[in-house]
Amino acid sequence: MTMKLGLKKKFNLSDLLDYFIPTDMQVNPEAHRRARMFMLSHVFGPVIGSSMPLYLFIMDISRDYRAIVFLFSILAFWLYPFVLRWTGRYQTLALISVQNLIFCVLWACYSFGAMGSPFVPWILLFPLLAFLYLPPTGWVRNVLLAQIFGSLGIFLTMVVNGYAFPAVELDHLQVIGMISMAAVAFYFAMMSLYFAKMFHEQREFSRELNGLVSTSDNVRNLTAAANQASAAKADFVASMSHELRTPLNAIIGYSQLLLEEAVDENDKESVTDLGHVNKAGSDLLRLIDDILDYSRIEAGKMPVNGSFGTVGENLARWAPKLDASLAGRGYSLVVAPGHGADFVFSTDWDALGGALRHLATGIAARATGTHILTLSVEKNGLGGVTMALTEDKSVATLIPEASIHETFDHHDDTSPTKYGGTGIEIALAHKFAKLIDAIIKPGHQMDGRAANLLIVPDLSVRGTEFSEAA
Amino acid sequence: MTMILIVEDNEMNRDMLRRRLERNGYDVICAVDGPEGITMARTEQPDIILMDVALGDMDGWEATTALRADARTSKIPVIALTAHALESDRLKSIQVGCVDFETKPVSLPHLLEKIEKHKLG
Repeated sequence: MTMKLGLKKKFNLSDLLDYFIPTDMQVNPEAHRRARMFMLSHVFGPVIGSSMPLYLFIMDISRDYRAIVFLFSILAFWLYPFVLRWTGRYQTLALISVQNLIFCVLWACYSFGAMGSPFVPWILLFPLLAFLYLPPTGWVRNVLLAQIFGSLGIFLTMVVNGYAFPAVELDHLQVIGMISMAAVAFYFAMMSLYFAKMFHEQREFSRELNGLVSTSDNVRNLTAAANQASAAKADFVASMSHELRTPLNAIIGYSQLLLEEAVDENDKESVTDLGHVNKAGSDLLRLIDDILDYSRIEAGKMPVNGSFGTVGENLARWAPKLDASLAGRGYSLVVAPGHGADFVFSTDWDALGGALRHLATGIAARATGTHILTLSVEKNGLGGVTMALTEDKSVATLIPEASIHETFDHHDDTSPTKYGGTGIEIALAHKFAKLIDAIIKPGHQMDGRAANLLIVPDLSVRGTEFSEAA
Repeated sequence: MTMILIVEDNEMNRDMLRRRLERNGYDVICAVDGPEGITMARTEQPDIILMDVALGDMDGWEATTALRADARTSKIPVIALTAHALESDRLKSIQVGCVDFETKPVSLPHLLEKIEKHKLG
């Protein structure tokens, strides 16, 4: 019931009128207003106008061709909306409609009393409707004026020259005269009210538009301020990272120096302790590098340089960092044989290396398996390769979908304390992947095992759409 | 004995690297900025130079360019030391005339390998 009520749409006259109006006119407020007036007069005009020939017919004042032509020339107006929707030729139809109106009124005047006809007041509608439908400028205005004054000129010439108009008893037309005056007044009132309503709506629209422009300006200013803040944050992080790296380099270097001396002196206890210091320093340095990378990508300061190459030839370049990151988690990487590693395509190889390293480290931080990650590379349907990371066991450790899209997410409370956290690794893998239009897809079934996929397109073909085929 | 010139503005990094290299049997001399490094390279004629990229007014790349332009030092190999492992840094280092590139914190085995590969004589 609620749904039914919710779906029930209130009847809206404007929607009905717009159904017949060409779309290109609806986007132009002035043209739209004119088309609405055209539609309104063509939908309701015949209802009011046809009352007069029907009265003539019913009251047996005229049951010949005069009333029939009068009636059909009025009913013809109902065809215009459909022809407009069918052809979209508004201007031509409006010009024909004005001529139709002139004929209709002058025919009634001609048939029922000439200048003494009760339908003479309808002549006032000619310029009113003509210039409501069409703009009073240029050649259109000239054509409309020629139509109105040309037709009226012919009619008046006939009157002045004593043309023998059809005979009619004027006494019989007194009632229709009142009906005609009432219909004209009603018609004028209806058109005026609608015009006033539309004018009001347009004013409201202009006010809302001004409001939106103002809001848009505010949004633009806020965006500029946010971008400025983001750039300032990136600069701050970059300078802070550099400041942190310098003493950290010394800590790592001196711990290595002391470690070498302890090894020479066979001081096992110091070797163990200095090893911890050195490892902690190295981990901290890696974390600072990660934060710096993240900040640079966020600030749009990480350039993307596409070049052709293969995963195979770049693996050697990535190996030192990749191995160091995985070794810190007690893992090692094995590359499975396959043709994909030799497939030539274009990407930013530094960014791809970053995405692979952070994804692998993120998996290693969660995994509890055999401490071996297998990388297999296959050519995909996007002109690039799909890199699959699987553990050497039947069920791979999967990166939860949520953590791919939520930065610095910890899947559970034990992970950070037990494995050092995966948040920044996965967030960075995602950031690096995004730089090269790649995506990370967890939980893909591969040879009966679940794998975490890094799907990489050919960067030389931008706008590539991912699909299941990839 | 192989003589190594370290051009590094950070005192601790300079001292730490000097001691580690001396432990491995090298004769090490140090300069604290680019101009001093150029002067020492001319007078001491080291077998190889380890050049920090992020120095003061004259950075390591400018200093290397100056060394390459001087006939007295143009043959001395220079290994660039940078804080970031960026491909652009590596390319820039090669462009200005460095024979190799090592990121900090330095991996001593890697650095020793490069020193032995590129040193004069």
